[in-house]
Amino acid sequence: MNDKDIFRIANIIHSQMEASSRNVLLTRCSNVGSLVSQMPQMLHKSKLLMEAGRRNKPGLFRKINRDFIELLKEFTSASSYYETNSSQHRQLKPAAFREIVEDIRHLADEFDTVEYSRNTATISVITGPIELEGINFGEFRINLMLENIHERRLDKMMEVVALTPHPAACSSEVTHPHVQNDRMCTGDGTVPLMQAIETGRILDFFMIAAQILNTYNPSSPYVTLDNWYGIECYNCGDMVSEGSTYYCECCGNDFCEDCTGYCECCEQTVCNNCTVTCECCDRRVCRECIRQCDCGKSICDECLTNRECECHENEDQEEADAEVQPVCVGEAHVHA
Amino acid sequence: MKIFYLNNAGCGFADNVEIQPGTTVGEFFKSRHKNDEPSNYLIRVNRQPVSADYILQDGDRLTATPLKIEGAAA
Repeated sequence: MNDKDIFRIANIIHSQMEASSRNVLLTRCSNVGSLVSQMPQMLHKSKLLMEAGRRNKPGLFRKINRDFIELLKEFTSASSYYETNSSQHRQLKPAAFREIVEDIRHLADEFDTVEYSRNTATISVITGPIELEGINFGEFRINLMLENIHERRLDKMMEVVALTPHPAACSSEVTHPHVQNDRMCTGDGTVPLMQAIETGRILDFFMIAAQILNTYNPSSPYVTLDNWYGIECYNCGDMVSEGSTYYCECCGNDFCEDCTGYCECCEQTVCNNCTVTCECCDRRVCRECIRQCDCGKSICDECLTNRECECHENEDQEEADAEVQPVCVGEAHVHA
Repeated sequence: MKIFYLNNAGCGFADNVEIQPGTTVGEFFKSRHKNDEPSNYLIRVNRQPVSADYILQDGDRLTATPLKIEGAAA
């Protein structure tokens, strides 16, 4: 990258930052909207959580709880950022032009490859090979689309592209635990990244992005490293891609298609081990839909409710016979 | 004397800080982060990597970027 490109880049960044500063109030309104828009999702998850707890489904509860905690973390991070900016009444001061130039010059000290595309006004760095817990993801190109900086949205201005993709078995779009469709979910890095870009600290921006790639967050990846190469069926042990597993609502484990069925009563997905055959109608039902008849047979909820068991047939017949007026003393049936 | 200190952790910190002449990078970091280690950060002075025993100069720009920054899934 020559000096002409460096000055061109610095120019674009500087003017983008000025445009961004002018829009700061609008952006704050947008941030409020963005913050508040997370609430319906959190409310929905909390209702699912309470329902799972009420129905005593620990496996389902754990799964939903993980999602809820991640929503809480994102909300907390975003609200903290909003509070910090609001309480300080701080309008971030754009960096001086020469500071931006120095940042761009020093990118080459941190990254072996730094490139600029005039056509797309994109500055890119290439990281070293990223390895997390023994899984090699290869190098990544981090692209910063300069003309989108004023939009103040990381998903609009940044791409993270795997140069030699080693995607998850279940999803070719997930090239890193925190990268999907060339977009990184920045998590704890969101606030530092935004502050860096809003103050023209391009060097810090790329260094922070690279460190996110070098960090594994096991509580909130698109695909966990344990499941990067697939998930083991709890029953037969076959490796299955995550999108092809079936979750048993009874025992809370994951199974392959062959080891999974569904309850013909409540239609929940259950594994073959969690289903029982109704001794009345022969349907396969889950443990929650099986009941004990008075006669001791295991029958489904529907058969019990509708008194379908054989033992009730005999009772019903006896009741039907009893309804005919009994012969009274002194009287006799007279046949026609 | 003053340095400009910039911390890229969490909500961040960026401001001028008064320090005593002769303060090293390691000493400064420890004074600000008693429960953390410089080895958990990428520390740059004037955009250059430095050792912990580098003696800070008036007007230096010190940045600290955590090595571990956790991403998420959207």
